[in-house]
Amino acid sequence: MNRARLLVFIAALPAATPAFAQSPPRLLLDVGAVVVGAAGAGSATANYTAPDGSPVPLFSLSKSVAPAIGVNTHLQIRLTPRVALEVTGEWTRPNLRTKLSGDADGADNVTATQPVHRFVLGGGAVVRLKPFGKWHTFTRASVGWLRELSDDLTLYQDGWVVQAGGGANYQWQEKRGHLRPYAIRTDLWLDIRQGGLKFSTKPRLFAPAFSAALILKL
Amino acid sequence: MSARIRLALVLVALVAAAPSVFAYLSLGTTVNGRSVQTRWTSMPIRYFITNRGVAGVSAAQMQAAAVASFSTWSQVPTASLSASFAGFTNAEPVRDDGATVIGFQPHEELERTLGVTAFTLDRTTGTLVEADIYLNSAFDWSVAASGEANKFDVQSTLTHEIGHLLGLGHSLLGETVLRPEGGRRVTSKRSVMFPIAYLVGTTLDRTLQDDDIAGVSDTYPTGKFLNSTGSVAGRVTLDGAGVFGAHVIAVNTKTGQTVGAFTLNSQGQFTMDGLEPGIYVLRVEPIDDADVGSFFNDDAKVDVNFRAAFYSKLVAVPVGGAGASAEIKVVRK
Repeated sequence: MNRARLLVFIAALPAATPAFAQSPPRLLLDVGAVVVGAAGAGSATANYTAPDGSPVPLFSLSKSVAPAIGVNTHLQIRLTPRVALEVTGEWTRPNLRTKLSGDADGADNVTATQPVHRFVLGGGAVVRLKPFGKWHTFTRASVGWLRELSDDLTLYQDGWVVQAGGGANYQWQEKRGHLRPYAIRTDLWLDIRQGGLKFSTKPRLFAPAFSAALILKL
Repeated sequence: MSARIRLALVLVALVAAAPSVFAYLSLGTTVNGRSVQTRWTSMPIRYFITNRGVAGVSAAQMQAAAVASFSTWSQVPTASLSASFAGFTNAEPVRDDGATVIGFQPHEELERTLGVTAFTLDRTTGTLVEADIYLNSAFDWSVAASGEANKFDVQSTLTHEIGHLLGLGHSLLGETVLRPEGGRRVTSKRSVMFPIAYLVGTTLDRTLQDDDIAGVSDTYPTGKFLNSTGSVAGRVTLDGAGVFGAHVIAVNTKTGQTVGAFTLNSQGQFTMDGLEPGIYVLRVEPIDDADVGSFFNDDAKVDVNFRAAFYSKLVAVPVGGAGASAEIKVVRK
């Protein structure tokens, strides 16, 4: 019985599309700008050890990842009128920041920084929601491989990222021709990162992100 | 024998311990005008124990503590070294007899010195051929597993001295305060090789710290060490000129690994090896928690008149090499 219900539910998904007067093109490519918000990366203390074994702070570290801008791109392959698979590429240039304070020998407080390159290559699914005029809303989720490189490109470490959110495409013309601007895409999502350059004392970093892109029909 | 030179290093836990913390410092000598790292080239290092104990510590207990201390160093996974006990002897330590001897000796005149390590080097190669250690029996000693009130721990002190025996100098990773009666007292530290010992009754120096591990690994590196760690290099400057003898500390922002080094020339240049790959904070300080003579020759022009400071950038340390060079600027006190 349960199995029958599940089949009905799955079958209902592609069927529930009468609101979409037309299906989007089969292949879409978008290229745009992305902004990834700040993320707290934890705090720590550089310690010595007292004769009784207890820690004695030498100085304190308060760590964060500053907001970053960059570019991203999505290649979307439509499976059904509502569902598409998506390959994502992203490059951003965040700054790792550490506020150093409370030095035992009186060193002035400093915020030390290191700009890094962050690359994300991922894949996920996009589900179209109900349109509002020329606005076509959607929700999406993806999982990606993450690589971060130091500013001098000598150190790189990998991790992974999960993105979940949604957005809307503003379609201003019919889908005529190829490699023509077709619509504008705006996305808002939550970035959940683990790994990358070993900096944070938190197991995962959470940051909001936004992008705006121009969609081309392939 | 004429090709040998002998130097004695009073490198032990001074009773009135003072502060000072620093990263590791390798001992070296000059051979034919070039600087050579002081190290053993033949393993295992064979050592004897003087067949004489002191109150509360027999020769056999001293030998057991020496085995444990050598084992502490030889078990560092990124260092390749070994030692073997050759037997008890009636020979005294600190005698140029070709044998490495460890034992107790009374030295009432050294009222702040727990132990001494003395070396014999091959003058043509800089290689260690003999290194003797004595613990000053003018103090009260203990081999109790958890330490003993009012007594110094034999194994902790031997671990420090054996670090010297292996070719390590002093570290400045520690903080001290001046004692009214003279000398210094350790308030905290993060290296067995800090020149001043903890107070009596503690056994913390039986365990190596990051700085000690980096130092011994740099002196006796395994392939794993060379392939899994990186380094950082740079300069410390004051008004554009290099600062000699500044103590630079690197702290890993993720793991907290803490290693130190000194600027070793008039350009103020420093290099630190044995760092886990990652992002580091750099901090520089003058030698003000221990005597300059614990680290450099008396005629060295060490600058201690500047304020502690942080480097304004985080430093990336890659595997098997160094990232961008760092210039840390300091100002006068």
